[in-house]
Amino acid sequence: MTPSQRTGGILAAPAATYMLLFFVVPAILLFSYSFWISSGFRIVPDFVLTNYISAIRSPLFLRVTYNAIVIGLVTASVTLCLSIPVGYYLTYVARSKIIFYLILVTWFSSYLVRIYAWRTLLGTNGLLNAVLLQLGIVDTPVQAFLFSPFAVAITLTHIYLPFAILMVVSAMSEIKAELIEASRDLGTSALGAFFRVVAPNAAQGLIGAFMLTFILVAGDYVTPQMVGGSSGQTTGLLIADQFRKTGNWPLGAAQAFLMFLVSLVIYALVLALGRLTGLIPARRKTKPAREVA
Amino acid sequence: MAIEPKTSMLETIQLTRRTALLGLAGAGLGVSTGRLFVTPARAAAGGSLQIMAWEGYDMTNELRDWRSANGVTAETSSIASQDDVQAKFIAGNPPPIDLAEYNQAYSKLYIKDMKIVSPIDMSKIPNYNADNLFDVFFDKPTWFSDGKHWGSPYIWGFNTLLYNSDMMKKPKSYKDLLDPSLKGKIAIMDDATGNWPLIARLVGLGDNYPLLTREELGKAFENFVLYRNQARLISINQGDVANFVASKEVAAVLVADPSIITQVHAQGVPLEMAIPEEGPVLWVDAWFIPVSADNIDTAHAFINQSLDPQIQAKVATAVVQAPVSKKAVEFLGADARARIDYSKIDEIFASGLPGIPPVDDDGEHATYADWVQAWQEFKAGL
Amino acid sequence: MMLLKAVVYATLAYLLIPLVVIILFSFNAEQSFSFPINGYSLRWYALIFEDPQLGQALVKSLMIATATAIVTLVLGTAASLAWLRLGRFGRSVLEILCITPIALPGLFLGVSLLVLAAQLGVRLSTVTIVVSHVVLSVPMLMIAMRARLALFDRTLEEASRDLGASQIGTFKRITLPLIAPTLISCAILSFALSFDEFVVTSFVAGTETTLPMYIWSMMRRTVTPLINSVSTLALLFSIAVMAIGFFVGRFKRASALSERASS
Repeated sequence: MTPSQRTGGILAAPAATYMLLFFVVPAILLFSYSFWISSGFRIVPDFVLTNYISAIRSPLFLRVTYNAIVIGLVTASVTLCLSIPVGYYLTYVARSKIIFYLILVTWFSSYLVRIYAWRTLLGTNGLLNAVLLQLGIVDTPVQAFLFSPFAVAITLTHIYLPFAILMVVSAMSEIKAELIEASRDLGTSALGAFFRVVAPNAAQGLIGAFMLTFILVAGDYVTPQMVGGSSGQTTGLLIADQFRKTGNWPLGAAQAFLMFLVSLVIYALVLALGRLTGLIPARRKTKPAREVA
Repeated sequence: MAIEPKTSMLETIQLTRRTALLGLAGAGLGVSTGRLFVTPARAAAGGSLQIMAWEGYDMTNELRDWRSANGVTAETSSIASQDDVQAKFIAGNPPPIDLAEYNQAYSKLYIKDMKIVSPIDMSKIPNYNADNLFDVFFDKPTWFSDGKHWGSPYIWGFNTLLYNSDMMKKPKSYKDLLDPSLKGKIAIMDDATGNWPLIARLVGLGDNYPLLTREELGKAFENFVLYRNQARLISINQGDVANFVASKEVAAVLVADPSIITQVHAQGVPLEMAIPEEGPVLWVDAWFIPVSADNIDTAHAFINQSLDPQIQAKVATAVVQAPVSKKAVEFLGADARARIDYSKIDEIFASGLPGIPPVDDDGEHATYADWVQAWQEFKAGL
Repeated sequence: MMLLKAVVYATLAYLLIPLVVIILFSFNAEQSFSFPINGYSLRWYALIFEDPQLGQALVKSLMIATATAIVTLVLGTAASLAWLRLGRFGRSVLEILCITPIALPGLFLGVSLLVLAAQLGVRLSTVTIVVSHVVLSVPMLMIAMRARLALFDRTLEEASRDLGASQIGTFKRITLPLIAPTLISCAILSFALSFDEFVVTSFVAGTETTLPMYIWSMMRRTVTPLINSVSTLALLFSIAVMAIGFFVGRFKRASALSERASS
């Protein structure tokens, strides 16, 4: 170990210890809780799989987890589809500072306020209905906007899109513009250039953006509850209820880890799908090793 | 100032004492030292109070003068459901909440099962007396057991059927909402303790509630699904329901807080209250002092204020509910007095107050967790 | 290309319209939430000042956000200086520890910290809120710092040391000016993140009510236009904080560059 590395170690210690103590240890604790048992608001250390088994066997858990996965996949797909053109535009077409800062503003505008805004927009007398009525597309207000899966998807996309755009921009900015120009010079269409040049090179970043959006969306229980009505029941709400209403922390912990497992499975599936369609190239030796995305 | 030098001197002295007390409280000695100054039947108030209550129920406006006269600062965490209260106590080392509001249904859970309630010393609450409180609240088992006062009843009300009188005729039974013409036109509140007793009553098991067998629970919910099939929305938010009623998307609300009526009337929609034959669902909120409280004397003084007839009348009017103090009735406005026939209060409470299902499994009855799960399944459309 | 531009602007509109609508409605003279808006007034802003609970919540949130920004800054600065010096293995460990939380839902972090507090017998309080917010903001700082430091040439530091500057001198003259703009903008982002955090806070808060928690309790119970005015203020506040961060960052960067040019 060089002296410089030793100084590095000392400097890293506070942050590393902090995260170890307040992130790794709690996660391990939560995991061990998932094997404990609870009866009537009392939690007893144990080592049983009952929580996992009863969760998997419960039709309720399966239903809300299905809801969460669908909401997560739909939102993450829409989010990625929107963030790719925006990211592309910001990276290669116009490095517009203004657009960039507007996106940052939405990212940092309050989470609850955005949910609230969509509740207002989608209401019977909301903007969406007012516009549709004005344009003559409908002649009576559409009641089905709010408290529907559509409301959940549009609101969640709004909440997580800015972050996804920033990730896509950072993934794309690693690709040299000359590469794209070269391929365009060779007669490839814009779309072709995207699929042949940008997508393979930015694949890791794009998948990262997709997965991160999926995980955050599938775990978000506040938004679906507020704009989704009865279609907004997700695993997150179930877990939160275990911790707040019924005091069954072990069951809540087990459900949280099952949800985590679901995310891992989806990640594997997305990777496999990417390889299968050729969007993700097999590892190439010529390419310098990239840091963790 | 010059006219009443004594008063101002007295004030100065009180202030100094208060300041001294505050300093001591900081050193962790506040409570015990505070007791030295307590005159019999009166609690010395001062310092800061941590309160957990429904929005509007913490007497922020009503007790402004009392707070400034006693140097009390109050900080409220608003609850959006009764569960928000016990959530703070499950962790085992609860924060120093001095006062919390609780629905009578949770009495047993809080007092016996979770043991998070410390007894109230009623000698410090002179307003708690048989002359002031309606008989149905004074020293009744819900709040007074094993010779100890666990809670001090504060305010009450009921949830019942609300309907738009332009869109339908007055219903006689909750079952009238199953009429095919009302499909997609009713709303259900996502409020467990408000709905559960009714769910049992609708299958004739109201008298058994909260003790239903798992089989009966299944049957009750199977029946209740019929109401879900009629529902436009199941909402956690009263404001949403009020908006849906105001925009005429919803013609009736299954069992809800009538206080939204005023809000809907303001928008020109005739929402009315009906008392169906199955009865309304009564509730009584009380104050309790959690075991983790650290400003106990002030909490007692606060509870005493909450029972003051004039304060009772003001709060009840503000939140559109009913006082527990019979002396408060004369201070109510004509509207508020007309809402409830206070001379019949004994009859209103004759059928008793709903509780919640037991948290411990006795091998025979459905538990609280079973009911919560049934309710979650109901909401998830299963 | 036109199509691309159209998609980009449509997406931007989608992102911004809800915020604009909230701002518009906050000036609505009527109680209703329906379009079109018939008159404008400041009545919902006047109501804010009559609500003492709201004031308390705002102060609490500001305190928590400030504490979070300071702690994040201290931990983050050390960690990013460490990152420059560590080898591949050290870097990976540091990254896994300090970046992973960003890929977990707030719910997961919230309940796991709640379990930790219960296990240690720690009272939930403002401190537990700050602790949790730092866990959320360190990853963001690490990501931003890593991107910035990738451009930072450590040979600069070594050269300065070779020329006889002390370690502290090197840090003050070379390292700090280079990383300061990023650190300042990170501190401000941490502040904004903490100021807005809701999910994790709702699990680890004791008796305190932060501004988002207060907004949530308003949202859950009623539909009042007061939420619009409070939201608008919160929004303007976030924008102001970001603008300050942006300008400070620019100013620092510019002055650092000119200083380097002159010396």
